[in-house]
Amino acid sequence: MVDFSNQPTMKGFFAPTRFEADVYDCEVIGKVPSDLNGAFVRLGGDWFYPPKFQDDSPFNMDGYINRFRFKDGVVDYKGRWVKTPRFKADRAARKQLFGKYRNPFTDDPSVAGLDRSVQNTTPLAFAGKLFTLKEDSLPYEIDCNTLETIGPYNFHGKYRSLTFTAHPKVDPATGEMICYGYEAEGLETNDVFLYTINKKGEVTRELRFKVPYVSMVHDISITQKYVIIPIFGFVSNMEMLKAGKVHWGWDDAKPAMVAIVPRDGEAKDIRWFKGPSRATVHTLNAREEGNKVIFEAPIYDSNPFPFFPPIDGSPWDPTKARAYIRRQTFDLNSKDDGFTEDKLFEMNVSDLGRVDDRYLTQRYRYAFTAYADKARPFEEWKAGNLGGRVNNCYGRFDLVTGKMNSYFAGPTHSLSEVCFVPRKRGAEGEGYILGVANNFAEMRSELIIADAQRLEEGDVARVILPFRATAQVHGRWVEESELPFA
Amino acid sequence: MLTRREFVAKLAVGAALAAMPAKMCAALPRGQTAVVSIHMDQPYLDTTGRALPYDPPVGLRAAAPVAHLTETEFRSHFVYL
Repeated sequence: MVDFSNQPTMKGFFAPTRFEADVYDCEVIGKVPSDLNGAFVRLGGDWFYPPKFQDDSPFNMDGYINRFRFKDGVVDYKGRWVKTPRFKADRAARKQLFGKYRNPFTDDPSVAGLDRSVQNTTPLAFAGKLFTLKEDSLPYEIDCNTLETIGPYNFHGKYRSLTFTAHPKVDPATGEMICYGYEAEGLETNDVFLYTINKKGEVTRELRFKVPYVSMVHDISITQKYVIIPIFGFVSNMEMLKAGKVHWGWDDAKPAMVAIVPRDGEAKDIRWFKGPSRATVHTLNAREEGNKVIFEAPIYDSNPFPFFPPIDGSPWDPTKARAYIRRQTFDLNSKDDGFTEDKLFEMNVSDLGRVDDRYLTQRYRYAFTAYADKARPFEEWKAGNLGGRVNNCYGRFDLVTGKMNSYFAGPTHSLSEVCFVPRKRGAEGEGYILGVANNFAEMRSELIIADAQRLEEGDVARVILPFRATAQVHGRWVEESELPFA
Repeated sequence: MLTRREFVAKLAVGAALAAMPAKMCAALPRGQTAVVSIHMDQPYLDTTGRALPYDPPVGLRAAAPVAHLTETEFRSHFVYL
């Protein structure tokens, strides 16, 4: 029998949500804009069975895909577990068979060789199909109407990496997807396979190269000519895994390294740049200015994740786990491997930042992300004492003027990653922001919809779920025309 | 000896009864008085006469079970909150 009673953090709002859900015609406060037609698709995770190890990473939770379907001003909700071989094996055994995050040496012997991915990171709509993405395996195809799992997908056999990034980029000018896999030839290999896939879903280009050391390659940026690939202090090796540790440890001695890869070049054309220790987990955008590549991202000072601890045994330092929106400039005419870095805003923010995706590869103005505003009210007697620890605001950061506009979710709320939805034929920044808020006083989740140009006015609509939605990692807006919605 | 809590409670009862509309007082069962209970250092007036302690509605303070965690413990489980 499943027992979560010995899991000290899985209580209250954070108790596992083990069900699948359908809510037809959701309750709405306010009015859902009628020009929002499509779906807000979220991917995240929860523990269907308790983890085998208390110190495991939350990135090892079972994947759960859920969708707010928007049509003519009404919203329906659906949520389903991503039914991977791992999920099915656990269910059949009625217990957790899999060990630590990306460490097969800690698994129950009965599941040796089984795909152990949990598909819990990013949803993707591309070439008329819906996928879940997790960087340790191939994408999984999902039925966009039922949300049932179809299975792993390799782009007609032409995608040969064993892994696929959680953060591919789609070039708005060509419709091509730039994607990659790292540890591409297997666990602890330093191979990266970089792909271009056209808008029909056909692989048109593959480039294979090696990274200087095995490291997390979680996200990239693209310009019209280059791919920007940051790696940083997360390290891994087979000895760590055989010793029963999680996949990553933090090595503070490792410099931040950034590869500038020509989109039509070869491995010999790659330039590697080095900078001070940083953690660039997620990116915003990049562009070219003459022979310079300008790259912007919410970049951490150091290790953001205590569950991937320092390899020297020192304690994790929360004061360095802060992300700031920064600009890194790479001079392709330079003779050395250095680059410059500027902090664009002094406030620390969530590193789950978004831009208007129509402006990828180009000069742009606005970035959106969540942040914690301790000056805003937090009603502890209703919500519990989390004041200052949760993201309660979304900000629109104007990279031209340096100003920030703010949306506040409420005094008992915390916010998941923001999503920007452009208004059709609108200028940059015209449209809506969407995001799911946890309401700790009402024990429920609320999808907020706000006018991206009037954030201070609050939401225009709030979709109320009568339960707690499973925790989100990433959410993406999918236009009506992108998938064969029923 | 009058404890601090009893003192605050008596004060609150007096103030609450003084402010209570006559209709509400009349609705109390004969021989019973309103009872004040304290939850999170805030007084709550129980006008049912049952003298039960304040019981927060389901869902209130849903984040409280993890509020005591250190920053390292908290971020070990809740990355993007």
